[in-house]
Amino acid sequence: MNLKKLLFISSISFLTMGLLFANGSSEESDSKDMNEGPVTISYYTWDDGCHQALIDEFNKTHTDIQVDGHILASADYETKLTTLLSGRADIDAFMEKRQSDVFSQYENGYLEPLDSYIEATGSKNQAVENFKSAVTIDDGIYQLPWRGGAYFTYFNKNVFEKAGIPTPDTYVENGEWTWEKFEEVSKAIHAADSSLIGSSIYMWGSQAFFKAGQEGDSIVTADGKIDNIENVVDILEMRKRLEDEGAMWNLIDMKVTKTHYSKQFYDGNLGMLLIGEWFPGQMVTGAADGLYDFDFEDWGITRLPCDREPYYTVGLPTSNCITSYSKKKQAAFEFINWMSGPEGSAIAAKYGVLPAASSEAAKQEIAKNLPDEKSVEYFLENRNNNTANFSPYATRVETEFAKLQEDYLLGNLTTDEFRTEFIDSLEEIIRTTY
Amino acid sequence: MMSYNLKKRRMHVIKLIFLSIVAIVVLLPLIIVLSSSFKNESEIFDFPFHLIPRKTILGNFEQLIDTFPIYIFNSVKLTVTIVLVQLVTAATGAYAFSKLTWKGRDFIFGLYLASMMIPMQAVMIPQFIIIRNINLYDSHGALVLLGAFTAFGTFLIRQFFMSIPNTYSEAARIDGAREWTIFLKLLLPMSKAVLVTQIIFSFRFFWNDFFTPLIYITSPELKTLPLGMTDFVREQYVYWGPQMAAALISIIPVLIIFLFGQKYFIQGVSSSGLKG
Amino acid sequence: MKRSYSLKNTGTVMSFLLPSFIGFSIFVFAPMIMAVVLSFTNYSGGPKFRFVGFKNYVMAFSNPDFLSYLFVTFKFMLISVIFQIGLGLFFAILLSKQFRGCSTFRSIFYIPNILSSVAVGLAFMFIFEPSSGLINEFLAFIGLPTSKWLASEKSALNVIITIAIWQNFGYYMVLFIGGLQNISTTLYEAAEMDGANKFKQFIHVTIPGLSPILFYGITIAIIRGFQVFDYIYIMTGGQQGGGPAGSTNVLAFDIYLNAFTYFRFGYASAESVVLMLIILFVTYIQNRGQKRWVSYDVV
Repeated sequence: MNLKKLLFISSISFLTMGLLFANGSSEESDSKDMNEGPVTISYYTWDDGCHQALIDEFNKTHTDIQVDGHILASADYETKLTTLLSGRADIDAFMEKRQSDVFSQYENGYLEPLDSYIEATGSKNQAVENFKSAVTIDDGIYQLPWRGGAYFTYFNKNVFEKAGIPTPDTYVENGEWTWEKFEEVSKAIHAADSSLIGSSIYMWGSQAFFKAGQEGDSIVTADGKIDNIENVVDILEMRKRLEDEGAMWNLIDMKVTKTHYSKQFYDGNLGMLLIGEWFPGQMVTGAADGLYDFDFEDWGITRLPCDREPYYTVGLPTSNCITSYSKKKQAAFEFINWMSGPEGSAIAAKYGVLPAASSEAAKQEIAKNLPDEKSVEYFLENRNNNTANFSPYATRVETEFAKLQEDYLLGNLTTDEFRTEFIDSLEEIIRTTY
Repeated sequence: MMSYNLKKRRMHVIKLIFLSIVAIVVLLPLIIVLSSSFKNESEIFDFPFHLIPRKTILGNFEQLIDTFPIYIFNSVKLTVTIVLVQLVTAATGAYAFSKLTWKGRDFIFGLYLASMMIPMQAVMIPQFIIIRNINLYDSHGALVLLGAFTAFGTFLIRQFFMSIPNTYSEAARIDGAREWTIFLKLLLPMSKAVLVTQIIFSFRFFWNDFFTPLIYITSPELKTLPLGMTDFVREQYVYWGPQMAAALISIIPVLIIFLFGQKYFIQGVSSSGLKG
Repeated sequence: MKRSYSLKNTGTVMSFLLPSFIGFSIFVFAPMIMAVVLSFTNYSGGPKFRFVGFKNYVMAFSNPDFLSYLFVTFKFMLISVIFQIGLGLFFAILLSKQFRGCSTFRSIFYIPNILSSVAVGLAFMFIFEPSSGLINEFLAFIGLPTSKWLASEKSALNVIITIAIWQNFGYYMVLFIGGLQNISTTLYEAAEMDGANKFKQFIHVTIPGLSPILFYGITIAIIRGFQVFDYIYIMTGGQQGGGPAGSTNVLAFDIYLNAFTYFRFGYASAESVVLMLIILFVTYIQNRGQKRWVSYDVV
């Protein structure tokens, strides 16, 4: 009886094993039929007006290559993409949503190195050059960025007027827009009128790594060493001081009330919001939908607070990858390379997206979405870009940090206890990654 | 006699009042959803909550007009198919596990039960690989096949069959009836209440299932209603209004099935004399 | 003679069993075995993986967080099962007999169960909002102290349990109404003639008659309680790591994070197997216990 059971279970598991790992082999044969008609590549991205427009425009302007776009829901895109790649679904190229996923995809051999394709074009790819460190793994390039990533200070001029203090760009011009100044200004706004909130830093774990990124700390380095965490602690302490005074949006409150940062800014009583390059697009749609009462000219953009010279911002680009098992790699490359080039960036700019490599046409488009000359200048200036917490450990580091950050903000941990526990959990993460 | 009746009526009134209070508490979240579906995105998040929108809008419902008819059609088609398939597999399986005796019965049933206990997240990728290998990715067939088997339903109907005394089936067997005849002519008619319960539950489950369609469906024309609701979850912004409107609409079909099924609950009572 | 009978018998059993067994073995059992196999590997979604023995299991049990997830899961399961079954049974009995409006009440109590999780998430956010949510306004109005609810690590789990009870008691109510319809009215009449009062009728007629379905309901509630994931996911923000300071992190949530956010499928599978074994053990105990109170033949 027991032998029978064992036999039954093992035969079913062998059957499954066969199904699981025999895949792919049957399709190797039909690879070289590139010459017959246009090549159709299968491309995966998520639901966004801009992505659809890029695919449509490419298909309209190309006859030899056609893109079959699979547009997935933005929610849980990562979960689905992971499942698809594990099952070797028919994907030639895809857009990466959670940037640190690239490490695991690289480890599993899903990604095609793009160096030789870029070389074959005969010139440097400006988008890659702008974000080199974010797309290189073990000296190979695995992603082509098309959307740039950078954080800014967005401010509401009315709030500053009410509080009777100069707007942040004044300090930027004087070279004194430091984190200390940011704290001082946040407090001054709330002190002037208690119905005003000085500033908001959103709840994502990555937002706490602004200063660490600017200073070039990695939290955990790619080869598994703990880096300097003092700049993380600095921002955390500042956040606690500001929250306790009511000068900053409370993190746990915004999480449980699902209060979006745009809603915080639309309400008109928030002085400063530190958020990414996509926000002008939301200000444009917000105005069209009548979601805020102040005028479009009443807000502005300037640099992120920064303690070092020269100025550094943080942010990761959004990129495209080619699968290692694709049979149409050259065609797939031509599509994603077009997306990163001048034509792609001009379309992206039309949708209020900051391209990874900007062209003159793109700049003119972008300027239309911004409130004033000064904002355009800061939004499009040449700047250095660093990223903290971009490693195979990144997602776990972020979640563990978020947990401890909440504990700290609730007053359950002292700064020293936070430090010890954070180091402990980083060690745990490094130890249990294999 | 008078006072007994009076007391009974007073008890009934108290019961009604109590049930009404509970009903209001239970419905409160639904009222919030209703109110939110007529507000614009900014007003939805205004605090404190106010029931009547300052500016009542129909825009949230209008945004559903283009795509949701096809999502609803897909959902209805798939849910009805899966519910029917499940009813057959669960009822026949339940019969095999309750009224037939065979070697290995309890072992196989144990495996059925164990399959309910492993978290869905652990089997998602192996399931996907199997579906892809039989070329059913991005088709409704994948969802039907994955939904064809239900341990919950088999277990539920088995429990019910177990409570029906074996004397009925044994008497029929002695009369020379075949097992399928006993199943179709004797057991199923006695089990209307549980079959209806199973229909209500499996209808609700597939109507609201999000993760399976998320993984297996990619083409917009194949999307189901819960998947369609994520059309309004953008990378940097979540549109709550249209989602609330869609959530309201999606309650209706399940409610219809539920009200329709209730008829059979009463029938269960009247036919119970059969077994006394 | 005997042989041909058993062949015929096998054919009959097969004809009843196969419709469900085919689907079960290919789409449920095989993936399940795969998950068990993967729990001994460092699988991360790709073809490159190797066997690591019991490393994942050792790692899980030596991680204090894992044990705290287990504890939170257990707490959630216990409280939610008691209330869901208790309230479900209570309202099933109140609403099992036909009266004017009973169908309306049944529908109202079942509606929460149909509502999509997105809507549930938003609605309860307003109710439990920490500064001016509906509950706090109400508490302040009648002069009771308010709470931070989801924003506090002390109350967040209780809020989530409340939501789970609110959404699911109707499910068990419907289940039990269905089961109660099956108890013959003659049994009650006989009991009444014997002079049994309502309470005695409940103990000696209702419970034994309902026991097979009650047993089903409790088993299902335990399984669902142990596997709870969606409430945590909706109410505490999926990838922002659960409730305040990890206070609502249940095991299934950690499994999801490990599988689809950290790409540690091997470890996630090991956690899943542990969870499965725990549920199996609890169900087994309960199954042993059922012989004492579940009666399959009284009706």
